[in-house]
Amino acid sequence: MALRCCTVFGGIFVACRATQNPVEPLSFTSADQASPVSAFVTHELTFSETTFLKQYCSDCHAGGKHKGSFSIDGLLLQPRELRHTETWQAIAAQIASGDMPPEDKPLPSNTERQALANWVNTNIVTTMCSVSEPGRVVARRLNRSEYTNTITDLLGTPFDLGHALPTDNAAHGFDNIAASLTMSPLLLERYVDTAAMALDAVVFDPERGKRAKTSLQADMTDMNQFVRQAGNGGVLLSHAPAGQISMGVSQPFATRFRVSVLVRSYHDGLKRKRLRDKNSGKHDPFVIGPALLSFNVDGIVSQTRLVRNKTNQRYTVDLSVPAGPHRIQIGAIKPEQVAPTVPRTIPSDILVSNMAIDGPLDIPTEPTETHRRVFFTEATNERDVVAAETIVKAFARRAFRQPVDDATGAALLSVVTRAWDDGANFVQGVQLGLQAVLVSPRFLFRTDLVREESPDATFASLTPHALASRLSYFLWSTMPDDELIQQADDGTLTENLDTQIDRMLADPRTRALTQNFGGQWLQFKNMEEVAPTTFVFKSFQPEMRGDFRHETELFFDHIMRTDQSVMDFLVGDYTFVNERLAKHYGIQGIAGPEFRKVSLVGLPRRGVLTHASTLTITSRSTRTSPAMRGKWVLDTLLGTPPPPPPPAVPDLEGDDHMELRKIRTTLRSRLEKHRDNPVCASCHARFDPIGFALEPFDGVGAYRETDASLPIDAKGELNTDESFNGPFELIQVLASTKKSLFIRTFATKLFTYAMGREPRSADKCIIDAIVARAQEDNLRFSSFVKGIVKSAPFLNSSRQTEPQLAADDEVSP
Amino acid sequence: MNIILGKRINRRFALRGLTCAIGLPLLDGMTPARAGVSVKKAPTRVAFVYVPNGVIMPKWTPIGEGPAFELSPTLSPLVGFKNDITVVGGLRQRLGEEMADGPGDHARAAGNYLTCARPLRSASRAEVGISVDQRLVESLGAQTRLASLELTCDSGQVAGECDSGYNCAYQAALSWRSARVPQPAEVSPRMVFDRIFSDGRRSLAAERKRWRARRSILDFAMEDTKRLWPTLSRADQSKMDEYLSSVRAIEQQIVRSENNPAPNRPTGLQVPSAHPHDYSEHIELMAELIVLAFRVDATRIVSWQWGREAGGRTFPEQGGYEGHHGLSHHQNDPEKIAILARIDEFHVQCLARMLEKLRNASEGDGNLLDSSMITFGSGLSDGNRHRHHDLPTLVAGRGNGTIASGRHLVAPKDTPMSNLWLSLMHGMGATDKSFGDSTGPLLSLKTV
Repeated sequence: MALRCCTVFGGIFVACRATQNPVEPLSFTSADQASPVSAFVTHELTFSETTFLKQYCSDCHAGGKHKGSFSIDGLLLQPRELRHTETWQAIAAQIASGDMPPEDKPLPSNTERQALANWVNTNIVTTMCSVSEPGRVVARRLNRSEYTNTITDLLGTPFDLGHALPTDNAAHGFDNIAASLTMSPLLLERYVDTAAMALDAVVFDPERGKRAKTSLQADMTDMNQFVRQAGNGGVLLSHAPAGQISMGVSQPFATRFRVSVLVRSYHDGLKRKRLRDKNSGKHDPFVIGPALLSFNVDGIVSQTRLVRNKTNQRYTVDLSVPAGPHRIQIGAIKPEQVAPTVPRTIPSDILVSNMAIDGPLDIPTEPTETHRRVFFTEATNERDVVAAETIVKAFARRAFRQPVDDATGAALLSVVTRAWDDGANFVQGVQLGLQAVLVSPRFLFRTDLVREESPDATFASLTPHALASRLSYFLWSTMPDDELIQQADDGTLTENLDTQIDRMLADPRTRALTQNFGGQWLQFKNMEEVAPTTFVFKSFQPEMRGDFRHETELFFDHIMRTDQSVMDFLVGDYTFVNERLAKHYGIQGIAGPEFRKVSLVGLPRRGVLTHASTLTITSRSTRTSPAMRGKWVLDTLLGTPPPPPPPAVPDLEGDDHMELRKIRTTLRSRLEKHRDNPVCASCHARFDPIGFALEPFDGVGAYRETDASLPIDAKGELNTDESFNGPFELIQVLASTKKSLFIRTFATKLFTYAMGREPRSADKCIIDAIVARAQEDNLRFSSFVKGIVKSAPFLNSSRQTEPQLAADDEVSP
Repeated sequence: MNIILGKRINRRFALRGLTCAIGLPLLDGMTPARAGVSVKKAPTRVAFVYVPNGVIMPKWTPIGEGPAFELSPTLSPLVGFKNDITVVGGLRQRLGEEMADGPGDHARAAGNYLTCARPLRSASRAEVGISVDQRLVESLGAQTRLASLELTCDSGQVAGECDSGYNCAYQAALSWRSARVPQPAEVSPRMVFDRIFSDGRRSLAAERKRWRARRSILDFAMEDTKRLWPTLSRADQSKMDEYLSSVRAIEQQIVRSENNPAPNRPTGLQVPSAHPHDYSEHIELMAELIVLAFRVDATRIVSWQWGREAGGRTFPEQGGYEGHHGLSHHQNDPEKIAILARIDEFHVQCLARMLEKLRNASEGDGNLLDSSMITFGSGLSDGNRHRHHDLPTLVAGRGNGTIASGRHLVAPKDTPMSNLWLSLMHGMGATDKSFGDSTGPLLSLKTV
C-alpha cells in the first residue's frame, strides 16, 4: 500500500488498516494519560533512527526512489532538522499504525515500532515544542457574518446584510480562515453598495426625509419557497408551511407603513381532492375553513385579517415598524396559529396581487438617536470642516478598531469636501466620508499589528487594539465594544483577560460563537441543506428543520453560558425541546412552540450525537447512513477522520445488488455484504460499526426498533476493540476510552476557529497545554477559551509569515 | 401531508407565469447606442455551462461521427437543435487526474475545468490558474460594461471539510481571476438583473454624480492601502494586492458605465425573484438573464455553474431522492444509472430551453444562437470512477461562423480540453497562442 492512501488530515495521521497488535499511536502528553515514553526508555539507548529508516524504509523511499511520492533522502542527511518535524510525525504514525512497511517487506517488531515512536516524541516533538514562534495570520477579511455584525455594532442598529454578499470559502471546516478569504471585484462592489445601503438607513438627511414618503408597489416575486406565481402577476399563498411575500423597508426611525394587498380569491377548489389519504384512500376529516391573511414584520405576525369568500377585495392595515431595515410580509396562516380554539381546519390558499406599501406615515422632524450617535457634533454651517472631520475621524477610529492618524483624517475630509463641491449638503458629504471608511481595507481586513518595542525579534506581542479585535472576533464575530477598546486604550487589557473573557462569555453576542463555531464544528448549519424525503420519513415536516437546529444551538449555548464541562456535548442528559420536537422524541407533556430544558433520563438519548440535527445531517434523504454517522463521530468528535475514498471506487459485483434487492433485509446486513470487498472493508470497518450503534434512530432522528420490519441489531465496535450495543453504550465508550481524544479535538477545533488558521505542528504542544489547564478546571467551557486566548499564538504574532503562506512573487502598491 | 402534491400542481402555474412574465417581450430597440461606432457584425458571445458529478456516458455519446451522427438518449431533447450543436468527444483534463495527490477528484475536476491547470493540494488556500473566461477578458480587454458574468445555481455552503483536503474554492468557483483569486458567482437572479439594468429611478445626471462619488471613495481606498502598506508583511501585501486589483477593476467598470450606461429596465419585464422556488426555475431565470445580457450587450462572456462538484442536490422529479453525488457513485446499479440518466436528460432539456430563447432572439439577419458559443459539460465523464478523460462536452451555436456545427466531432484520443477552449478564444477574436496545458487549437471545430 502506498503512503498516499493514508493522508495527513488536520495534522492528525490516519490509517485504516487494522493491525494485529496496534502500537500506542504517537501521542502528545496529556494530563490524564501516562506518556508511553517512560515504559520504553531503555530502548532509547540503543535505538538509532537512521538505522531504522535504512533497514525498513530505504528500499522504496531512499536513494532517489520515492514510491508514493515520498522520499527520505533529505531526512537521512539531517534527521534532526526542524523542517522535518511533520515528516517524522507522519512516519512515526504510519509505522505505529502498522500501515508501513507493507507486509511483503521486512517488518519491524512491535518493540522497534514503539521505539521509533518514542524517539520521535523525545527528539522531535520536544524540540518542536520548545520553539516559541507564534506564527502569523495573514490579513483576514471580515467574513459574511463578521461583516454584518460589525456594521450592526458600528451603526447601532441591527442589519441583516448577509444575503447581499457572496458565500465565503471555508477551509479546515470553518469559514473564517484567513488564507481562504479572498477579495474580488464583485465582492468589493458589494461592499461599496452595502455600505451605502446601511448608511442610508441610519443617516438623517433632511432633504431625503422630505422625499422619503413614497408609495411603493411591492415586487411580487420576492417571496419564500412556499409561494407560487399564478399568472397575471398574482401569487398563491399557501397556509402550511406559511407562504409569504415580502418587501424590505428601511428607515432610521420607528414609524408606520400602510400595507395593502388585493385578494383575488381564496378558494381554488383543488384542495378538497388532495385531502384524500394516499394509503388508506379515505378522506381526511378536515374541514375547509376560512383563510387568514397575516401581516408580519420580520416574520412575526403583527395583524391578521379574516378573508371572506369574496373576490377582488383589498385589505389594508397600518403596521408599526421599528427603526432600521426590516421586512414586511404578507402571508397565509392557519387560524389555529392565532386562535388555538378554532377546530382543525384546512384553510384555502389565497391568491393575491398588487401588494403596496405607503409610508413612512410618521416622519420625524428631528434626527434619530442612531443618527446622533454618529453625527455627535453639530455643524455650524453647510461646509463646517471641523465638525465633518471630527465626525468622520471618530467613526473611522471605531470602524478601524484602532487609533487613526491625522493623514487619514485629512484624506477622509477631502472625500467630504469633494462631495460638497459636487452639490452635496453637510450630511450627504459626511455620509460619503463614512462610506469611504467602510470600504477601506482597514475596515474590511484585520491585520495583526505588533508592538514596535523590539523590532529585531522574530516575533512580538500584538498591539492592545489588535488583541482586543482578535478577542472580540473570536467570541462575538464582531468589533470590540467600548469597554474592550477602553482597556486597549489604557493598556490594561492583557492583565484583565480573565475578567474580560468572563464578561464577554456572559454577553448575548456569544450567540455568534454558537452559530459560527458550533454550527460549523457540529455542522448543524447543514440543516438548511438536507432534504429528508417526507414520504419515507412520515414524521418529518419542513418546519422541523428549524426545530432540529435550534435544539443544538440551545444546547451549545447552555454549555457555554452556564460554563459546563465540555463532556456534556457527549454525555449531557438534558436537552431543549418544543412541542413538535418533544413529540418527535417521544417526550410527554410539552405543549407550545417555545423551547425549554428537559431531562433525558429514561430516554435513549445523550448529548449531541443523539440530537435530531446530527442524526439528520448524517443521513441520506431516504435512509440512514451508518458510514456517514461513523465518519461524523471520527471527524467531529474524535478528530481522526478516515481518509477519503480511493480515487476510483471499485465496482461491487452487480449481481450482489440484484441479489440483495430480492430479499428483504436490513440496511445493516446490506452494508455488511458490501464490506466483503476487501478494498472497502479496511476503512468501512472503522466507521460503519460506529454508525450501526445509531441505527435505532431513523434518518430524521426518530427512535425506532425495526428496520424493514426486522429488529435492529445495534451492536458495533471500534477498531481499538471496544464493543457496544446501541447509542447509549457507544456514547459511554466514547466518553471513557476516547475522552482525551474528544477533549483534544474540541480544543483543536476551537483553536483553529480562534486563530483563523490551520494549527501548525508547533501548535500541538500549545493545545496540549490548553487541554492540561482545562482539565484542572473540570473541563469547563471557559477554561478552553481562556487557555486559547492566553496562548502564545493568540497573544503574539511573528513578524514574517511562514514560508508556505508567503507570497512567491513581488507585490507593490 | 399534501405538501409535495400541492407543490407540483402549483408549479405549472409558476412556469406558465414566468414564461409570460420575463420571456417576452423581446427587447426590440434595446440595442445600446454606441455613439460613433457603427456595428457591422453581431459580437460573438461565449457562455460556459457546468454540470457536476459527470454523466452516464453510454447514454450521452452520440452514435456515429461527423454530420451523420444520431442523437443519444440523453441528448434527445436537442432534436430541434441538431444542426446548431457540436458534440465534442475525446477531450481530457490530464491535470485533474490523481497523479501523486490522491483523492480529491471532484475538487480537481471543478478547479481545473476552465483553468486547465493543476489545483494546489491545500486546504488553507487555493491556487490553480486563470480561467479561460478571465483570460479572454485580459486578451480582448473589457469590451462591455460588465467584463464578464459569473453565475451559479448552487448556493449551498455546507459546514465541514470540502473534498479530500482541498480548499473549498475549487468546488465553489469556476472562474479564476488569477491563479490565486477565485471569483465568487452570483446566485440571485434579482442581483444579476440589477447588474444588467438600471432601475431607471435616477436621471443620468444623478447617476453620473453617483459615479463621481464612488470614484472619490475608491481613490481614498487606494490611498489608504498605501498608508497601510509599510506595516504589512509580504503575505499581507499579497492579500492587499487582491484588494487593489479589485479597486482598479471597479474603477474601470465605472469608466465603461460612463461611456455606456446600463439601459433602463424595459417596461413589461418582470424583475426576477431573488430566491427561485426550485432548481429548474433557477436555471430558467438565469438562462433568461444571459439572453437579456447578450441582447443588450451588457456582457459577452459568462461562466455558469449549475451545481457544485460533489454536490448532493436531490432530484425528486427524476426519482433522485438520494443526493446527486451519492447517486453518481452508482457502482453499476442499473436503477441508479437510470435515475442518473434521467437527471442528465433533464439538464439537457434545460439547456434546450436556453437555446430556444437564444434562437428566438433575432439580431440582424440571424439570431443570438448564431453568434454565440454555449458550451455544456462536466469535468468528470464517469462520476462513478472519477474519470477525467473522454469528457462529456458540447458546444451550441456557431460563434459567428467560427464553428461548423451539426456534428459529432471526435477529437484524437486525449486531446486536452484546453485545445477546445483555445479555439473558442480564437472564435472570440483573441490571438493567444496557448491556454493552460493546450497543445494547439482544435482546428477541426471550424472545418468539417
